[in-house]
Amino acid sequence: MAHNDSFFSALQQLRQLPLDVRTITLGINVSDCHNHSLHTLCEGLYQRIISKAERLTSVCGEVSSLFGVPIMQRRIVVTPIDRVAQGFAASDLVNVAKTLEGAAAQVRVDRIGGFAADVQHGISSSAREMIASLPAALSQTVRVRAAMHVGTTESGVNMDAIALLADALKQTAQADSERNGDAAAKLVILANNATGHPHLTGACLGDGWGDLVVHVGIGAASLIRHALVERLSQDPKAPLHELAAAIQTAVFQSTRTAELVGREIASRLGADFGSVDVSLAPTRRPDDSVAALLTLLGIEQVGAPGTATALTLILNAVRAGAAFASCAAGGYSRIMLSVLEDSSLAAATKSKELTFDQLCMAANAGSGGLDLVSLPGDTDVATLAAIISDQVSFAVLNHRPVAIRIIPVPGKRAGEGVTYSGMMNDAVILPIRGTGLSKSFIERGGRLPPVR
Amino acid sequence: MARRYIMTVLAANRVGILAALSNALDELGGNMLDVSQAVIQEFFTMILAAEFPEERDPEIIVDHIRAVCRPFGAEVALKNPENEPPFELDEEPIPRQRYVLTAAGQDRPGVLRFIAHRLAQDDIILLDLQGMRRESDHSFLASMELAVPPGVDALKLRNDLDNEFRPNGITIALQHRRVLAALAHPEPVGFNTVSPPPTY
Repeated sequence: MAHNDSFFSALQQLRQLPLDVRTITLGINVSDCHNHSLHTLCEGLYQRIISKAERLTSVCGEVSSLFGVPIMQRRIVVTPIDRVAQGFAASDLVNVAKTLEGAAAQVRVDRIGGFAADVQHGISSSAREMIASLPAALSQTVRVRAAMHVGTTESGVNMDAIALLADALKQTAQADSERNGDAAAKLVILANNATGHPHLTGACLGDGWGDLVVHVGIGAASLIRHALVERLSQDPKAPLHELAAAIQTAVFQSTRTAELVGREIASRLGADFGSVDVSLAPTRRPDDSVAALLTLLGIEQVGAPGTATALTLILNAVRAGAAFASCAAGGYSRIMLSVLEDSSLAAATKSKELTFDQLCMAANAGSGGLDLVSLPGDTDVATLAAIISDQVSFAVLNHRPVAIRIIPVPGKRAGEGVTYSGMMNDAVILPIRGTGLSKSFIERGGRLPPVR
Repeated sequence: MARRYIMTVLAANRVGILAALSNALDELGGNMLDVSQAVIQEFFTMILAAEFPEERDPEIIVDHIRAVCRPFGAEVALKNPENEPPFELDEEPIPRQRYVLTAAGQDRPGVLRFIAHRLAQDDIILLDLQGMRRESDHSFLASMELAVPPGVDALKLRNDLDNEFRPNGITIALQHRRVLAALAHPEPVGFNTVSPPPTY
């Protein structure tokens, strides 16, 4: 007999895997668009983005159908606007944000990042204007993402900037109160991360990337889920190292696919191929929840004791799988517990099992910070600043990057539900313990010295 | 000047058949150009293209192979491609992408027919096909390599086939060769798998 059972099992390995690519990010250098005339600056930015990115959407479509791999999100990042648009007032910077929005809409991408500034040492007058422009800039645009870099291990943390940003965050949410403060979700506060990391929300084209570069983010959540379900169906009592191996394999496959897709898109656009981001993040598809992976591992509720161990196991497996798959795999990876984007986490806020403290704990174990967490709208600015600075100082102490996105939902209290349009899930606002008790600490201002 | 023939050989699958067949070819002055061999249940099968000296009569080739392979009950068919009506070729070879399609599930009639019709609609060329049915549970598995012309949406093709067969418990997978290579080969993706698309 020619075709025996080994032939059978060899062929079975050709089964369809739920491969996908989460993000394609096109980095465009706009440094030379600098001009003292606002009109010339905006025109230059707009034309540059259109000319470099006009084919992005169609090329993503072509490559996606060629390889049979869906691409979930397309993004553009540009040089930090703070460096390009120096010397403008806040109202002018709102127009710059609208220009970015218009260009992104024209080339049909989902997000545009680069409305960003570095303030880890001190706040320049331009950066101050940019922070002042955030409420209008973010509430009057849809695709623009803003980022502010407030501290690093080497330089310490700028507490003045954090206090200023907490205030801006609250005003931004207020300016968008009819959409439950959605605009505040578009501002990310970063630490230990030159604003250049291309994969973070609100990231910019970092230094040293050249003029045009394609980065790709893996979509591993569904593939890992598939691998875990399969392994558990063979052996419901599989030990942790076997599950870690299953995750590792899935991430390997996912990273390989992402790199293949990214390189093909880069070559068709005439761009450099940048890096593969192996962070694990939820997508809008119902099964793509990161928190649901914890359930498969046996943690019934995110935040229960054991969560940190499970996150560490996943993160290590992700890193190991990616490191072998590609030399272009990004230097760091994290697990994004984006509450409003992750269906399981959002559901957990409703069940009252998940507390804010547990989220903070998880944020410091494997995950990359508080991401898309909605907070009571009456939280005072000092408490918001303290929440941000806690996350930042943890990251700075541990030499790892952090990204914080929190939404003080205007007019809503803890326990009330919030609904957002777009890709976010419904969630319930989590209560914060001890609000208002850190006011004098934050009001002192100044800087946290570098970590030695 | 050598003359090229295409042949099929069907014989009992016993030890020595390949030795006998290659003996016969050698005695005829033949030289294989292309060959594909498979054992299908009890039978040894081979399809080959071979060159023979120009003066060698095709009937002599067939008779000699039959005679040498008599203990195996060999049946031989031979064609001279020059005598065949000319085959319509693309004016310019079009770059085609290679995919592997696999279908697996409970065996039922008509699966291949549906797939083949759907592929023909999109002007897709079949390069290779293998498959079998497992008697123990009546499940089948088939795998084919395809050369797909530009403009065919692989996601849509897979979804069409999947929608047709999923209700019958048959799963369909369609994967680009380069995706398979990226998953199966340890070399870095940028080095082993990016090559210009082949033409046919």
